[in-house]
Amino acid sequence: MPDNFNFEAAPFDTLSEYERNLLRSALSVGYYVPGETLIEPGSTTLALYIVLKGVVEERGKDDQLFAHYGPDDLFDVRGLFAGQTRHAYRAVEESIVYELNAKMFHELCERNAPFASYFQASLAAKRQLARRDGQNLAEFILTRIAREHLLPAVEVSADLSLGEAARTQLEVGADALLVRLEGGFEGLGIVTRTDLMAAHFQRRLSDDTPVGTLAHQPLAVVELGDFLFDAMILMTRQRIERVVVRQGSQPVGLLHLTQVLSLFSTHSHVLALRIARAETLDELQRAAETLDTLIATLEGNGIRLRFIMQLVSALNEQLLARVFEQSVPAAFRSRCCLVVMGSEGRGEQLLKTDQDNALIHADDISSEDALTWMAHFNEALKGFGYPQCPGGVMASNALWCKSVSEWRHELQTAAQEGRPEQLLRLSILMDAYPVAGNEHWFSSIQAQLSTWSDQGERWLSDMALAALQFDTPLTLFGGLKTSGERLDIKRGGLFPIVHGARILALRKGLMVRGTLARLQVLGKHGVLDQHMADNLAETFELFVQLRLSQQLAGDRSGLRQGLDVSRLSRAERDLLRFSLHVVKKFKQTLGRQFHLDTR
Amino acid sequence: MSVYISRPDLHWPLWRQRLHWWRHDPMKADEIISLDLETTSLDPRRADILSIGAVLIRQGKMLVGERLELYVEPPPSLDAESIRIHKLRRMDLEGQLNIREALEHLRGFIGNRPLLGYYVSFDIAVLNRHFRRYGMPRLTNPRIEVSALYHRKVSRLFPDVHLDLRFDTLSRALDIPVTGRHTALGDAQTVSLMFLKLLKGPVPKPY
Repeated sequence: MPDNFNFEAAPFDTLSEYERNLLRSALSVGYYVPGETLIEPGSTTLALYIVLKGVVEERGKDDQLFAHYGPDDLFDVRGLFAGQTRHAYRAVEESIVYELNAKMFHELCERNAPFASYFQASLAAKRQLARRDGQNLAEFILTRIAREHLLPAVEVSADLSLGEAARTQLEVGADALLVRLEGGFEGLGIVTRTDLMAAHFQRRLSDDTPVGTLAHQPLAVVELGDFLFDAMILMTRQRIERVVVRQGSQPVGLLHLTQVLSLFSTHSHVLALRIARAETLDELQRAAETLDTLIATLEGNGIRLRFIMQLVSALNEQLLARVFEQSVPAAFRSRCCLVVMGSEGRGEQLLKTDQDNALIHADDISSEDALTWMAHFNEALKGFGYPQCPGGVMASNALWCKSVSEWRHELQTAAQEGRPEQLLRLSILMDAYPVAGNEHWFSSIQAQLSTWSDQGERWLSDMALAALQFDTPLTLFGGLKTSGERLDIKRGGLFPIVHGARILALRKGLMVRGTLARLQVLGKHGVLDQHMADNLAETFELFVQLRLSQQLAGDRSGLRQGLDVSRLSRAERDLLRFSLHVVKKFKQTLGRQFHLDTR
Repeated sequence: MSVYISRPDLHWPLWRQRLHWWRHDPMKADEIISLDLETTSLDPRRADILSIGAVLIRQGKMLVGERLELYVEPPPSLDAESIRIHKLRRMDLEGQLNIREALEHLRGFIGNRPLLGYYVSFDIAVLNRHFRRYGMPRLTNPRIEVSALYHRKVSRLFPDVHLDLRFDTLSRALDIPVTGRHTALGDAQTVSLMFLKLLKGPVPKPY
């Protein structure tokens, strides 16, 4: 029996021989020229379309592109169940498409339960993904801070006596008091239960002491309606247990750690506390080991990736800061600054990858001393499961452990000479972020980086060229190009976005941290089309998400960079393909902006 | 959207049916049958039918379900040489339809629709020889020759080119996936895809 129809592909492989014959009897084949419409929006869906050859695109009302369909893809399942098609389907290139008429489709669904459930399941997954993918659709996130989460904020004047304050607190059942020191929101301070206790029992202050003397300032503040996650990260960063929630310039309540913890089922703060309280390297190491488990839990709970990345980098920074404290004598800590680079520096590290770090120290510290500390530092990190950087981007390497003036000199020469290895170091340095020591040393370097392009503009296109060095893994027909079921998402998808955003930011002197933030700022400054910036951000998140879920499912080493396309669902493959098209477009934009096509 | 020409009434006299197809292009008919035979030889005077494949094209779409695939009892002329091409052995054909029944089936399936094929005149000549043998009227359906269509379309753009009209070249130039080559139904399906593409698509680049 000659047959072009691929019965091997899911879900058709679930059909029995008899059902296959039924299917064949209701099948027709259409040929469409580019631009021809297969289904008009609003029309009754008459058939399930299965692409044999060519590419068909799906466009929404305002001509917004939803998906591309290539060989073996099917559409419009949603329309078949709803009876009506919402979007327009148009052939992008010459396409040969099977059409299974709707009546037979429903009959097959009735006869064969696995067949039906395939479509219903993929529909649900698609809808979920579509909701995620949508432009301004609700954020994929847990809870926003609402009034019911809050403890009352009791405001008292600064000259209230200690005893009065304690009684007020007990009466209203408040955990802390807001003290009015001056006018306006900035004039508020906070006095916690612990402060009152310490004042009474430790410092033996009398009951009449005005409470204003105890108040802490400035307040740690989140807005009402912010994500709980923001509060969480703030607490983690500042190692505090409560934050003030405000609406406009009015404090509306206090958010306590226990509230947040009861709403979060994870233990990120517990972990942060363990890191903060660890006395020895061994204790730190045990804390570091739980980090991966935390990521897996968060990912499993469907928490949006950009929040996981934020939280994980906050924790990572603390960990590094602690190790730094263990390695560098206290007297010198404020005379140098440890910066991290690479994904960690951008705040995008999830699972532990190799360590990329550098040290900026004051001119009067001898480089031998600095190198000894850093060797200890790197050794300790290695013990924590952060592999050493094969490229030698580590603070224990003399090339990455320099005094401020040496660093400044290096930036200066890079702008003048523009040798490839200098430019490479520069683009690595672009991602630097201070995690420990005195940030002052870093900010002077950063200031110079932000004006680097004034002098180094002519080298920028050399640097940008790197973003185009790997081909986008798309075939000529717009399908996914894999090598043996694997698709190199890091080279083909992530790197162009990360590097492109980095170089554009360098050119504009925009010193923001992280690819997502860079894209946003680039969009705002008009360097990138706003639409393009949004799409790229979504794309970036999708790539990281796909990679993470496969890393979590399979080996955690992260060495096998390829993405196993066969393990993705059809909907995910759709999104992946569309995303790669976005990357391709971005590369063209880069090519234009830096005049790379003429080189 | 192009307008499709409906078929002439089956009961019209032959001259009127022919007049109808003279006035209208058979290529625009709303229903067309793509036809292919596997035979024992390439000489229409001696070739015997082994299998018949036909598929219906309705309004620019090939209906995979509306098809005919018939195998015929092995004729005595079935020899090793032709078996090499179509891979139908004597034992594969034992116990299949006898030729007369097959012809009747085919007749009922195609009716008076235009016939599409690759070197379709060969197939029709063979069929007509068989029809005559069994005292049935010959086929008077209008014909559509896919290679002529290809030739016309390509030579309009490349007038001087020497065109290779082999089946495989056509399918390659038109970028049609070929399955079931040298089976009657497979070839009929491939030809109908070629036809659809020639009808609507751009001018193919000749090989």
